[in-house]
This record gives sequence, structure tokens and C-alpha cells, in this order.
Amino acid sequence: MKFTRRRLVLGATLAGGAAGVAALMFIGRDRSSFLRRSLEQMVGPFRMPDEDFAAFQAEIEAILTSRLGNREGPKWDLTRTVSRFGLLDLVAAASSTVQDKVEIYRREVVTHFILATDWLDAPADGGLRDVRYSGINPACANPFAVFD
Amino acid sequence: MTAGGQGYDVVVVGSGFGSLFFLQRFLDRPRQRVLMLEWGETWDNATQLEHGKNGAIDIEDTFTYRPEPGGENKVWHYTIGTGGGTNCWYAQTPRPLPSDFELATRFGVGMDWPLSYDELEPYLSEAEEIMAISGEDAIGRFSPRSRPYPQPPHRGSQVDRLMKAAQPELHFAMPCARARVPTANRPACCASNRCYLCPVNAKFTGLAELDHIFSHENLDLVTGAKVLRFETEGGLVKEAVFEKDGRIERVRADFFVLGANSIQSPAILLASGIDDGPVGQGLHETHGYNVEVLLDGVQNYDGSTITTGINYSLTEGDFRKDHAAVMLFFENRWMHGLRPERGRWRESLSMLVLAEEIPDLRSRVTLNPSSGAVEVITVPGSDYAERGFRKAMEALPDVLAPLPVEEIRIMGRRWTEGHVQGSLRMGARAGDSVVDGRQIHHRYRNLMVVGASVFPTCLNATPSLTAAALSLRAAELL
Repeated sequence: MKFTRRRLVLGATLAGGAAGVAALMFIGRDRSSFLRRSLEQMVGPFRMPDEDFAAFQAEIEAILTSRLGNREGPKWDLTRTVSRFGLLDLVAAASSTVQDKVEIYRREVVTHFILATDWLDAPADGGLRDVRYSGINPACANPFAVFD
Repeated sequence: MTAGGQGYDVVVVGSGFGSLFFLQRFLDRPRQRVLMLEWGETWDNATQLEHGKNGAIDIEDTFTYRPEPGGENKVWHYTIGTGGGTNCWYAQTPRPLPSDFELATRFGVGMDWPLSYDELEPYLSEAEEIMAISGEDAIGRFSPRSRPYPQPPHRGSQVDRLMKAAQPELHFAMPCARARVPTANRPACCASNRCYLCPVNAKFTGLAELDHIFSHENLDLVTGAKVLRFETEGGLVKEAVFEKDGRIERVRADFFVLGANSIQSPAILLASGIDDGPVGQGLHETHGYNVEVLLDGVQNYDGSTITTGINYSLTEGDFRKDHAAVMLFFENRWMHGLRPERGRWRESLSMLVLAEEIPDLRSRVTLNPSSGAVEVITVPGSDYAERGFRKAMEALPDVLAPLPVEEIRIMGRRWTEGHVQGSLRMGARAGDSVVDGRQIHHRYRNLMVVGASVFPTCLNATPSLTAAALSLRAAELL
């Protein structure tokens, strides 16, 4: 094969593109960051000890798996990647299937976060809340209920 | 099996609403020896919580779906265990409407009940007293009342308050057996949102409130006793044949009360060769959908129990000649999750839209001709009920006009309400019913059927309160 300049440029572009896609897909595999970003979008900035966040993530992953399947593969990786650049709503708007799944994801995550942490009671420090994960209180699961 | 060498006066099969409320009244009689046969075991609330279910027997193992052309594999749910459906119910107790008992006469659909609302009313009141029902007396505008509710109504949600302010004669606190204030045996409801396994034992259950029945000196309770059939002789039921610990046992009595449930009770009659009239036919329950309403600026879910409102906008009228009446339940729970938008998590409303069903005799309980196993054949909901739902969806924007509605979403069919009704219907004539207006079998006069099995039509109400009241009445008339 003859290495022409044109071929070299084309090859470099393809390789760069492939590396870029691979990098983006790699980014998309980071469920933890995706989860945290999704949460901050829905509830605002918060701080949670790593072990608490890991416990929360484990529980919500189980819930999400029961609703949405295991969420592995390029489509989900791409979804998480797109989300990283703030484009998820644009993509969701173009596909009702994606929209439905994104809605389920967001609702499950925010619901579990509100119910299973002390977010509602946590003091806000300049908009940043320190939150602990405790799991859902099975006895009285509605934190908004009033009994007066 | 005998009571002190003698047969029993009464054998009661099953221990749910129908049987317990029959005994609540019947055990007042002196010197009546009663045997209660319960297929399941006695699991108290703590045991149920520990196992995460209401009883040891899985319902899926108690019948199979028989596919037929045009049929559907519908979900049916009940509890096998001491207390029966009082364990798994969500404890909603709206009363039926007077018109529910006269569907054929008033609207030319379904069939009339062999008793009127007025005849049943004193027993509805008594059942409410026994269960310590919480409710709002003004609801008597639709279902007249002779007594106030024993407990005050639950606190409504913000949505309920808006609806009530705009529609004071149509929107009410949901009557329920989830204690608003503690009873002698139960704490107040804490809005756990998981009533089938109440974590604090706040709802009425047979085990929590009717222990005086289970411990009554004239009652023997045998659990783990699966009734297989009745033996008959000379136009009377003579024996109940049951299986316990792998052995076949027999018990004689003067009178038999069949209160298994609307799937198992007809199966027992069919296995006994008692198939007069529409035995097993007409199995039904309400035809329901989940609906979610997105709201603008209303912080919902601050009521004090799982379901806080019931709306009667779509329940009464000549329209029932054409389509079903519909109950609207206002849920104080986020059945589809909180909203994801920041700060707007609570700006939604979950509703149950429940259309009355016209029983279809093709939906039925039968026995497998080879194995004798219990089979259920179900045809899809009627056009009458589905049309009622569609009309309700058309009307819903007007009904919900007091609320700042952003969007109304149909979230899908509800595959069961956990109610099984109508497979041993009561009626005036033997040809089109199984028991008479006193719930006595048309041919075997020492056999009574209790529970929602006897409902000839669906009612605009959840069935348990009515089943309980019917049993109080049947025991009194016996």
C-alpha cells in the first residue's frame, strides 16, 4: 500500500474518530457520575459520604434493573455520554421510547433519593446540602404526610 | 371429626370477611357448636411482615388459567390463610349506591339484587362500627346513612382540599378501615403506602379486631384444612370432606356456610356435584385504569393515609343505560414516582379510575375434566365498562377543573383490584342465581354462601364492606 498524504490524513481522522467514540463510550459506562449528575439536576447540589452514595447506588441500580433491564450496551453508554454534554433532553425529544425510559429513570432515582435519604431535613449550606443515606423507612414511607 | 362426640351445628368454610361477619352475629346464639375450616395457616401481622406476604399458600398454585378463544389471562388475587381477604385488603370502604341494587329496573342492564339498599343499610352501619371506619358523614348524600361514621375522616391532601372547596357535594374523604385514631387494638394509620402488609397493623383485619371470634368457646378453628367437597343426601348437605396433613377427613353438621372466595367456593360446589344455576359463572371485578395528573404549583401528598379522596361526579345518572358509572379514587401516593423537575416532585396526582363491570357468565370457574384442578376462564372487560372508562376520560378535564392541570396521562390498565366477586350470585329465581336473597342455596336449604361470591353485579364500591354487611344480615335472618 502506498502511503499518500491523503490516506494518512484519512487514516488519522478515522483513528481519531474511533478513539473519540471509544472515549465517549467509556465515559458513558461511568454510571456513578451519571447518577450523581442526574440527581444534581433534579434536586440541586449535595454532598454525601462515598459509602452512603455507594449504598444508595446499589439500591437504585437494583430498582432500575427491575424496571428497565440491566442498561448495558452501546445505546445506554451513548445515552449517558449524551447526558454528560447536556443533550439528553434533545435526544429524548426525538424518540418517545427514549423519552419514556429517561422519564422512568429520573422518576425512580429522584423518588428513591427523596425517600431514602435525609435530603428533606438536611440543612442547606449555601445551596449545598449534606445528605446521609438511610434507606426507606418502611413503617411510614410518606415523608409529606401530615397527621394533624 | 366431631364436637364432643357429636356433629357440629354449623361448619364454616373459610375465614375471610364473609365468614367472620357471619360468625360475629351468629355466635351470639347460645349452645351452637361451630367448626371453622381454613385451608391456610394463621399468620399474624408480624409473621406476614417477616415473610413479605399474607399467607404461606401462593395464589398462583390454587388455580390455573384456562385459555379459550377470546379469553384473557387476567390476574385474580386473594389470601388463603386465617382472616382471608381481611389480611391483604387496602381497607377502602365506600358504600354501594342505592341504584347499584336496581341496575336492571333503573337502567335496563345487569340484574337487580334481591334486596334493596335500605334493607342492607343497618348492616352497613353495623359493619362500619365493627371495623371502626373513618369517614365523612356528608357522603351520605349518595349512600344514605343512619349512623355517623365511628371515626373522623382522614386528613385530605392539598388536591382534596381544592376539590372539596369547589365540589363540596361531590368530593369526599375516602371512607376506610385504616384507623384515623387508634382503636383498642390498632394504632392510627401512618401513611405507609403498603397496606397489603401494613407495617404498623393499623387497618382492620380479622386477626387484629375479631379475636373474640377465633377464641370463642363455641368455635373450633382448624387450619391447614382444605375442603374438597360436600356430601349431600335427601336434598341436604350432610358432610364436608376435607384434606388435612395428607389425610381425608369428614365432618357432619346441620348447617354449612361456604365462604372460601369467589374462585374456591364455586370449585367446592362443582366438586360436590352442586351445579344448579350459574355456579362458577359471572366472576368479575371492577374495570380499572391508572391515571396520572400533572399539576402546576400544587404540593400534593400531604394527606394522612394512602387514599384520601373519592369523587362522585361520574357515578349517578341515566347514562348508566349506556355506559358504566365510574369511581374516582384520589391517591395520596406517587404511584408513578415523584416528578423529576427540581422542586416540583409533588406536583402530581395519582388516580384510580374504576368502572363498574357487568358480569359476563363466560368468565367462570370450572374444574378440569381430567384432573379436577380449579381453572378460571376470563373474557375481557365488557364494552359497557370500557365505554364508561372512555367517557370518564373525556369528562375528566371538567371534573378536575378546580386543579391547575398541566396534563392528564393514562398510565395503563389495572390488571386486578384484588377483588373476586360474583361466581355464586344471589337472586330471586333459581334458574339465574345460585342462592336466594337470604344467601341460602336455592335447592340445598342448609347451605349458605357468604362473601362477595354472591354479588349479582359489581357495585360502585369496593366489595368488602358490603360482603361484611350481607353476612351480618344473613346470620340475623337465619
